[in-house]
Amino acid sequence: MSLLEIHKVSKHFGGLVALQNVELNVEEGKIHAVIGPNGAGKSTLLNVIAGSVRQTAGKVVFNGQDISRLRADRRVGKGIAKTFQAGVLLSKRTVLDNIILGCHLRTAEGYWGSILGSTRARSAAAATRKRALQIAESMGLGGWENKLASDLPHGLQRILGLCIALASAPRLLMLDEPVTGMNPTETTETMGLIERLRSQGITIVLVEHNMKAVMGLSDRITVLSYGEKIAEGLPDEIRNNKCVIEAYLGSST
Amino acid sequence: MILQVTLNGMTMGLTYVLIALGFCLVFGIARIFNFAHGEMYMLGGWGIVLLFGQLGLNYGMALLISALSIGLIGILLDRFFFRPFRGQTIPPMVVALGLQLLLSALAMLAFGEKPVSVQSPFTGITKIGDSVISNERLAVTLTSIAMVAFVYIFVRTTKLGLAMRAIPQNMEGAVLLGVNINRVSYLAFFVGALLAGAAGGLLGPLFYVSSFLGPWAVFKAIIVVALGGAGSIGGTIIAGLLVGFVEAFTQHFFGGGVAEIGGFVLIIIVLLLRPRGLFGHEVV
Amino acid sequence: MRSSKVDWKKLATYGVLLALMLTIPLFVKNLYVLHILMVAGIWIILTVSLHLLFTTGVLSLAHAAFMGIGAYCSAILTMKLGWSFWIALPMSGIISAAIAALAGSIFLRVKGLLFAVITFAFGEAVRLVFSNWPGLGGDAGLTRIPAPDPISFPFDVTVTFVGKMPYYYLVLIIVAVSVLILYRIEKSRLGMVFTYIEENDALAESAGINVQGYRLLSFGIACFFAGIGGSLYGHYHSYLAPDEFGVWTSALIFLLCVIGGPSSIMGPVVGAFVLTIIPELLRGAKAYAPLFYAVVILLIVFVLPEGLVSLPKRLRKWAQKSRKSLESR
Repeated sequence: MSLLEIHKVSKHFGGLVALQNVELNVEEGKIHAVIGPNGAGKSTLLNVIAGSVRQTAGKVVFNGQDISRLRADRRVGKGIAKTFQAGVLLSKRTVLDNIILGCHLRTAEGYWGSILGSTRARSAAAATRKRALQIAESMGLGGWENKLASDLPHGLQRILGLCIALASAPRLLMLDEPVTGMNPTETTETMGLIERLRSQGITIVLVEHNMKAVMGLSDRITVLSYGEKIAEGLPDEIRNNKCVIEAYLGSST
Repeated sequence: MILQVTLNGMTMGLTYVLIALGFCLVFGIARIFNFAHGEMYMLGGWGIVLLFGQLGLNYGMALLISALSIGLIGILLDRFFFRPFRGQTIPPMVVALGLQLLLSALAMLAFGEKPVSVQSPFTGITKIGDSVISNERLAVTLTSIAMVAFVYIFVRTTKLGLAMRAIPQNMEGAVLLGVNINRVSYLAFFVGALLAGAAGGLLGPLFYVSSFLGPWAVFKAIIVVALGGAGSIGGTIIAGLLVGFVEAFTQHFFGGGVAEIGGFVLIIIVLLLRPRGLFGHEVV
Repeated sequence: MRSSKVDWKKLATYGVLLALMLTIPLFVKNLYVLHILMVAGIWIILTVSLHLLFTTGVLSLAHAAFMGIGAYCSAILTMKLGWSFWIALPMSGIISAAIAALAGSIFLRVKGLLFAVITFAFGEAVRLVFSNWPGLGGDAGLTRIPAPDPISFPFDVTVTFVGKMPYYYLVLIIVAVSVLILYRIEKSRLGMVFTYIEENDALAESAGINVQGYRLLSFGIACFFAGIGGSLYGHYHSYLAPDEFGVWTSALIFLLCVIGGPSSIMGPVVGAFVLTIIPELLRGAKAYAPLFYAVVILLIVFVLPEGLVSLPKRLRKWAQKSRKSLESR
């Protein structure tokens, strides 16, 4: 069943056409990759789904609900989470505090209780801390909880970004170039993590340049070029698709 | 009538542009809310009093020396007071406030608290059609136009000028392209202080010179920059002129008290409809 | 990191301070000292509320304008509508907050320093309204603002607001309560969310935080307290003038808030306190007073980057270092 449907979505930035009539159906529980040469509009598409960028035309439907006009932070509440490309973190805070940020929507600590210093609020805060710790450990950051985010090696910083997104307990997780910049060992480890997330029932939309990761992980691939969809299908179909090969070769001239 | 009012508006408007450009440049390039900028204008007035009024130098010479010296003071302020806090948001503001207090206090001690008038070197009037403009004002207007035009052309055609326009829009991008932020910052402070000092020297004979003019000047500058869009040089120029015209028109048709408000109503309406100003960029 | 335990040492220190402040009128007979303390107290309400805004990353230079809104509202409500001060006081806060919410809904779309520039313009616009709106007394302002109504306590005790003492306790209590509330907010999860927005609003949004909404909330809360401070100000001094709530007063509040130390709530309190006392101490210097004041401010920024609150710590470190270098000789 389609968890996410993109209907005829276009995005214009002034004169620049970033997306043109894009259609996308993401099946629940699957890993769906979106690939394409630079400037194809992949990140823009993720931003439109996340709500941080408003589409010029078209509809975004999540879990049967039209969320096209829904504010970005409310989409997180509906179960959509997205990671960032570069290290977008609370750099001056600890790993644990970063993950606690991600727990914002799932914590039981209310504002009034917290202001008044009630015991209930305090135990809710402790529970949130515990949950954040569990997330860190399950993703391989155990032992790093009290380190500053900026002190983390690059690969682990990406994992931290992933943890923050996971902390909101999303149904749909969008990964914006999760393994770009990682060495082969880290890449394999992260791929394993992503596969594990799928087995936990999380639907994943993956934007990546690393073809090995894309081919190895995806159940389905959509290819964009200059804002338009030029191909879609199983990894093997895409690998041999002439239009796709041309798009990638053409962009390098 | 209309032409007369327009001429008056243009004189004041150009002055506002001269003062505001400095604030705009420093704001956009060094990301500093420079409360002390108005003191450059204030010092410009005293410069003329000293060089032209007391030492008897030729007015043009006095203006040149005064403006250049104040431009230099601008560079020194950046180097010793602001550069240590490059990249931070709040400390430079505190430094600026401290400098504003320091400079006005020093001026008070050096030049006294009483306002002083300076005899203008230009006498007589010129007729333009049905309207009349005093030669004083004419000189101020023409000099201001020359300076503003020079800055505008510089900023549009030279490489440094390009850097000055690029940094407010995208600092990281500019740095990546190899722009030396410190050097451009010095230039911004130099040009800004110079222009404000010149404005002070130009308006001094027209009105009066005092140690307390700083706050008024920076205040006008901030209003103009808010209207035009912080970081936009063209925007500052248009906004300054606009404020000058609107003030002159409301002064003429409605008289004194309402004139203040006239300009302001315009500004607030614009800001309510377009918070980033007429030509402002998204975020600073 | 928020600690979930109660810091008994801190609590005890504050308790002692509070007790001290409560008993001052009993052994200090100089009424002028009480006056200075009250003036400082009112500034404390302004600086601590502005601090909340700064933790959210909202750089408002219009805080004095909202103080003025509260002051004028309170004066009008008590003078023209005959309301009791005790109702006008909270109402001033509410009206101030409401206007803040309205203006903020438009202006808060712009961030950081640019917002500061806009609030500067807005602050002046508000001052112009005070000067020119009919019935507000024009440039001369309002005079003979009534004292708060007498409060009746059980056992036939009535407090009338004549002389400095009743005002002192009024200001002290309101300042203490305001600071306590603002402190609790900053330490709570709400305060934490505010800091997330200041540090990285894109990340905060991706975690499901309604950035704009929280900015508005922070602005509303801060301006509520600014209004309260304004109301107190007006009824204590019994006169108001538009120029007292202009952009330079906002700049002063900003200075007082930041000079104490940017990272804690004691910063604004210390800043307001010290920078209100200093001009008083400098009165003797006459013409040189503004110069000394400016030098003090610049010294603090350059020598104490963490603000006035860090002075004791710094002195201790410096004393340790000089002791060490003496011992090693």
